[in-house]
Amino acid sequence: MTETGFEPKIVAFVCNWCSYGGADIAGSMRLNYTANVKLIRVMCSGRVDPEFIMEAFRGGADGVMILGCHPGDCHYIEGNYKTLKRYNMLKPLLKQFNIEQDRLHLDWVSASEGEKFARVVEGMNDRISKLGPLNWDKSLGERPHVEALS
Amino acid sequence: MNGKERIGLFLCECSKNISGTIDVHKVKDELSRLPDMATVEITNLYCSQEGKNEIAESIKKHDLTKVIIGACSVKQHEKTFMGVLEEAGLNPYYMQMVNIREHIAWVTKDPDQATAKAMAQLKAAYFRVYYHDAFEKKEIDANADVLVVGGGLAGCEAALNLASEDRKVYLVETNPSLGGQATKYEFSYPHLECCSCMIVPKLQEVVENPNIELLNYSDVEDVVGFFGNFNATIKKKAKYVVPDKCIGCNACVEVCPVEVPNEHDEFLNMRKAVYFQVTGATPFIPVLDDQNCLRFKDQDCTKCRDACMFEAIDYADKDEIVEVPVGAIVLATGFETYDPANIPGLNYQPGIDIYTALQFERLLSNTGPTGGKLVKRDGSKPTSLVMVHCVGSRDKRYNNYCSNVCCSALIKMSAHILEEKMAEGIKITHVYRDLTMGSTGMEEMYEKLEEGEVRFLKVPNPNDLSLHGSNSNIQITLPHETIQADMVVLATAMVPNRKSEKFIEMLMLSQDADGFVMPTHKKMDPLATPIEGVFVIGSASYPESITDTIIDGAAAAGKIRSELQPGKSIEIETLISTIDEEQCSGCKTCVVLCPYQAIGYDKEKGVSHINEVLCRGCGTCVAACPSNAITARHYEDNTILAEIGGLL
Repeated sequence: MTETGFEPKIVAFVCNWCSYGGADIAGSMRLNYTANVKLIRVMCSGRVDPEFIMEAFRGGADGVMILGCHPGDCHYIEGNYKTLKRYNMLKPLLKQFNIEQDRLHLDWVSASEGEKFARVVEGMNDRISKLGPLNWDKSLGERPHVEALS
Repeated sequence: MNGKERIGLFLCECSKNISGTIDVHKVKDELSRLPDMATVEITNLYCSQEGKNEIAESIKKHDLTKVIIGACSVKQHEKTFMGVLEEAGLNPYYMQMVNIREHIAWVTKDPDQATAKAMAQLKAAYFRVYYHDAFEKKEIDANADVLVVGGGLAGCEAALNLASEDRKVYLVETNPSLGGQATKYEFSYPHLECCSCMIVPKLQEVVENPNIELLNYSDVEDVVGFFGNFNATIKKKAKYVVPDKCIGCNACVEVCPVEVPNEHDEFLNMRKAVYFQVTGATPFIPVLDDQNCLRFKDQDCTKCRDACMFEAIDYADKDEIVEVPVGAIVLATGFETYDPANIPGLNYQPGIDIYTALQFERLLSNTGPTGGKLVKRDGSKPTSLVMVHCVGSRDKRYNNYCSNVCCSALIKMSAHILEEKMAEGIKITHVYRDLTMGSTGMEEMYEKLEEGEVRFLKVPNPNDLSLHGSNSNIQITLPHETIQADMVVLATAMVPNRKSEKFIEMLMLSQDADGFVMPTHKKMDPLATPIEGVFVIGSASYPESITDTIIDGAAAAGKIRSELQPGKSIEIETLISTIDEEQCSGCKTCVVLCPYQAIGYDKEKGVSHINEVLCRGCGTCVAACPSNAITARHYEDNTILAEIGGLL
């Protein structure tokens, strides 16, 4: 918890084959990391539609992560490259929504990298903690989940 | 929240592994209040038989329509619990498993935070299961026959292990004879065992096996289809020799007036236009090469036909196209060697006493150009021999990998020369960077040479040597000295067979950075390829020794035997993607994105369609479709959006 008492809400899309496994190993290693990052499993990081990311921001997430297999290791050969392309396309667009670019983060975590999983998740939590809550532009629509929770 | 679902949530304590951190009773109290939540239960171990029974009983008792399990990793027990649902009469895809152990209990210090995170993740699952559809396992009829491309040792081993009464193997070899590169070696390492004595019986077994249809001197022209149902088009090149009549007497070869460079002897001598590719070829029948035969150059030569006592020569023979339906394909296209002329300092030129290692193998061979005598081009015996390792290997400028077998091969050849006393008093020097010899017995062979008269000179990079001189008098400039040799052997890198490029394109496979066929996973799945039903063995995917090649061939056969059983259908991926033709605009974005070439374009309808056998359900096309026309089963847009909603 930061001094301001702000606990970021972070959604991480993890691929079934690598980064979900990385999270499993982090568990087996009993590594401690923030509970602020919550996971959504997809079969491949290539499945992550930019719409999901925007929906997460709209729904109340302060940060969104996409974690896929390392380049060259994708279970589906090259799904992670497709993700990288979409990520590079979406990132500059975030500005137009008044969302700081650091609120979206793509990384590669293999099924053996428990330590890296914990590290990238902690790093994201630190960055978002510093950025503070997402200042959602109301003109873009309501954030229904935020309302529901408050 | 539709009033129709009856959802059951099962929280596993995992013997305090979970309940030691997460307050499962608090979770139960909170989530029990959710609409449509018919039951929330807690047990110590749901993976135990008692635990599984409890779930099954609860499904029946509460007439559950959807099930959420909060326990460990899906990797550990998703299949277990899907089985429980199935046994209880519920479609297994009506379940969602949440990993509250590895992802929460084991990684969160604070129990309150862990409990809150567990509730959020379970709520996400709760929102999600409303969208779960039932899916049935799908099976398709499959052909168990196999096409093996390449009749080297890898391909032959695979074919022999696959062929049986209920499984036919089509073995296609582009050359006239089976055996591949190994037919060029006189001895094998580490026991200096006669190579042809080892391999010819195996090749003969292939020829005699009634369940292997050998298509030698043939090329695969095209392959279409998918796992279980491929169709290959094969061109059988005209041989102009009738196999049933020919006895292999050599009379035609003797009289042929044409001489062309002999590929099998690495261009060290000449062969005829009608020829046996290998002395003692398997099958033991010559072929007539119409690229070089005079008859095909408008000359009326009939010498071979006149010489044949069995009327086995048929000039009217034609190429023949055959189609073979198969269920799986084994690619065993092997290697070729790197051209040392690409390395400037080595001044490699054919005609002087500098040889590639493969040429040198032929020089030492009883069936080679010198009949197994180690002599220089002028016919005299060499007195000093320099063997250069790593030529074109382990060097970014040429090939950045170790060719794996050359060190052993050079050591084998040195031992062979000395043991057989092929040149009395010969001084052998190895110029090497590192010795990489993983095979049994090679260390002993090296030690024996090193303790004897063979000199081993370590240099930073053998590709930086400079070779000068004329026949029999070659100066080799090393970093600190210049040595003299009257014969030099260059262990040239093993590179992918150029002919394999065609298959890589045809089967839509990938190449690694070095041009070899890329398997699914170099360590864990080195024989499978991303194209299901297509396997790669031997040196087509990395330079391999004979031993490894044989292992590959047998292992791939084992994989195919277990995956493709005669008379049995094959189960295909259930959670695939599907295209709604009404929504599809036919933009073809998905077609190029699919890594499995599973998406085709229907010109008539102007829409894309997914081949359900090839699709593996990655969902990349779904995310890219601008018309929202593609749905990923179990990972539909609505399902994931609901999950996001539940999480936040």
